[in-house]
Amino acid sequence: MATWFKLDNAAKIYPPILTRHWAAMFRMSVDLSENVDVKILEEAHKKVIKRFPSFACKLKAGFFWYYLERIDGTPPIVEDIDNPIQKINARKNNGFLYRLLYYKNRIAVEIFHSVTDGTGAMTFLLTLVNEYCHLKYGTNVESSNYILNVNEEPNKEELEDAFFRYSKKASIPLKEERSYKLPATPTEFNKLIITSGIVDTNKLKEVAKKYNTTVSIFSGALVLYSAYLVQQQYSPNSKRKIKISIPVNLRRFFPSKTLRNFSSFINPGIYPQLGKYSFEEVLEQVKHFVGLYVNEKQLNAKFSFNVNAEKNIIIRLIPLFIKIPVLQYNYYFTGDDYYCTTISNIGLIKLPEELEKYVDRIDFMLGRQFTSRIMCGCASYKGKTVFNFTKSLQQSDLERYFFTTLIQMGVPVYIESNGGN
Amino acid sequence: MSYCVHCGVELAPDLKKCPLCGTEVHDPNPPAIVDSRYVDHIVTNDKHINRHFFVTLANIIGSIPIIVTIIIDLCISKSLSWSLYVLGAELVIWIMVILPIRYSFKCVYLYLLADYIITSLFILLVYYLIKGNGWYLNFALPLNTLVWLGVLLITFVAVKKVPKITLASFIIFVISLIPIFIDVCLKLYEKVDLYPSWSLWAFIPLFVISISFLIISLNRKTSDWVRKNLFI
Repeated sequence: MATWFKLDNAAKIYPPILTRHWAAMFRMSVDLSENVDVKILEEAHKKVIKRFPSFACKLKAGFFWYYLERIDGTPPIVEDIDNPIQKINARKNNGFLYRLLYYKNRIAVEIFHSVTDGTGAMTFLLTLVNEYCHLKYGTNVESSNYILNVNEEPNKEELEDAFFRYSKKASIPLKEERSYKLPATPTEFNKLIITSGIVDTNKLKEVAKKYNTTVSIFSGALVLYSAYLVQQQYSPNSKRKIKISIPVNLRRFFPSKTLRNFSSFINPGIYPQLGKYSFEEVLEQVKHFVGLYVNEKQLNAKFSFNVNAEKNIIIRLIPLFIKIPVLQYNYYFTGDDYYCTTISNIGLIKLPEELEKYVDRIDFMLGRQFTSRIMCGCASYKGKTVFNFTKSLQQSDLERYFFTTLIQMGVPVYIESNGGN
Repeated sequence: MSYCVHCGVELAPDLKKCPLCGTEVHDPNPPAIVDSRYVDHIVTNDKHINRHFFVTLANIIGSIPIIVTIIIDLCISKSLSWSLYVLGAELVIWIMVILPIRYSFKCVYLYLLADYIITSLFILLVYYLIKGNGWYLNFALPLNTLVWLGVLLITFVAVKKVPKITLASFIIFVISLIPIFIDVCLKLYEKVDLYPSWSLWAFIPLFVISISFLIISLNRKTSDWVRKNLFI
């Protein structure tokens, strides 16, 4: 087994743009039917980490690129906190780039984006939960969707940079318009407000079906429509295009078992100066945008551009200490200027029956981006869809418009938050 | 089970107000035990700068030119001569920059006193090394003392938390006095009449600006207009 890994193509941007208090992170959590037994969790964790070698790594800087170096041991399992998805303090976390937390019946994992994407993180968490349930309740699920067999050796394909495998010479450079930015009064230092809206998945599907679309496109259109309503409320004369970012899991189009990053994104939007939009109009825009750009050829051309840039010998020969300020400049000034918020839908998660009875709920949350201070993560499980808005701004307009529009469409919403006390 | 009367969403029992619109929850029969999903425990990333590490690193880096220059000086001139400039300059930097980082004195004037002593001593060192002809006592020391008194006065006013425009007025006034100090000290050294001459050309416009700032700061309406129109 390799003792170090190159960062995959998408992961390369994240280490240079780290600041002292911010890192690109996200979080997955699972609610069990009973309180977590930390000793069993530790035991399961020790076993599972061996199956995920790219997770048992620390970040190191080489002369030309950052890389991941294998390390032994495990990160400490710590009690969950009220302001999650903070940057990991590598020293306190034994050098690991993910954090494992527990609280009552909840197990959560928070991961630095250079390690993996949503699919990889969900696979890690559910494999851990499966092993935990095996040790505690004697369940016997070997492998399934999102669950790996911990007794097997890691597969080479799981560690591949799938961007490199599928990239072609033909590529399309990324040229995008800047987006309107949502008004944002920052919260106090390091405070992250979570507003979770729980809806019935069947009701959501029914409404999406009524509009002749999927839940993912419907949710994306609803976030864009909410951003449009915020723009109309605060700066109706703004001529900037309102755009949101929707991550796309590339494994759907390019079969790969990789547990590293393998996702792209699309940024659909609307021009507010063209007139008043109804939700139906916004939905049509998003639907057609997805149809145009979410296909094998367009997605390939998009990520191939980044891979070809990485393959360029001149870029490769530039020392890291020069690459870092260039990438920082590029990211800090333009990185997330192309969208005002993100909605990432991990989709419907189905667990084997034997395991399902011990798992009550699954959540997915995104940490804030450098300038976009509000994000939405979404996951569906056991008939419930949880929209988690995570933000470090005081305004609540985006999520208010999102949930109240859902209610107007006949979908009841149950709200939980750490910011309503 | 509570609903927000404004948004129509059902709210978790632990919520005292709607997180979407801020409307307070009025539940006539609140549940006796409220269980929250969230932990009442906030962890913030360490804002603390590792001062000890920074000072150690600065000391190591700063000592390299001292050692190198002393060795070269001893090898070439068999005595300590020009390397003392480097030693003196490094000491000045250490007292002015590293000392406030390493030691946190409650009294800010102690730093200023240390700065005054080290700058006076450094100028004295230069005076002895170049074998000056009396300019230290007649020019350099009085000028250094007057500039130091100016900085002391600015600090004294700044810690009083006066309005920014008043502080700016005072700082400009002190700066306007510096050319006068230089002029007078030069005349003291040349042993001629102490009446300032060329420095008045620098003093007068700065003094006028300072007085304008003071007038603005005293007139609330004008100072508000300036703040509104000229904020950066």
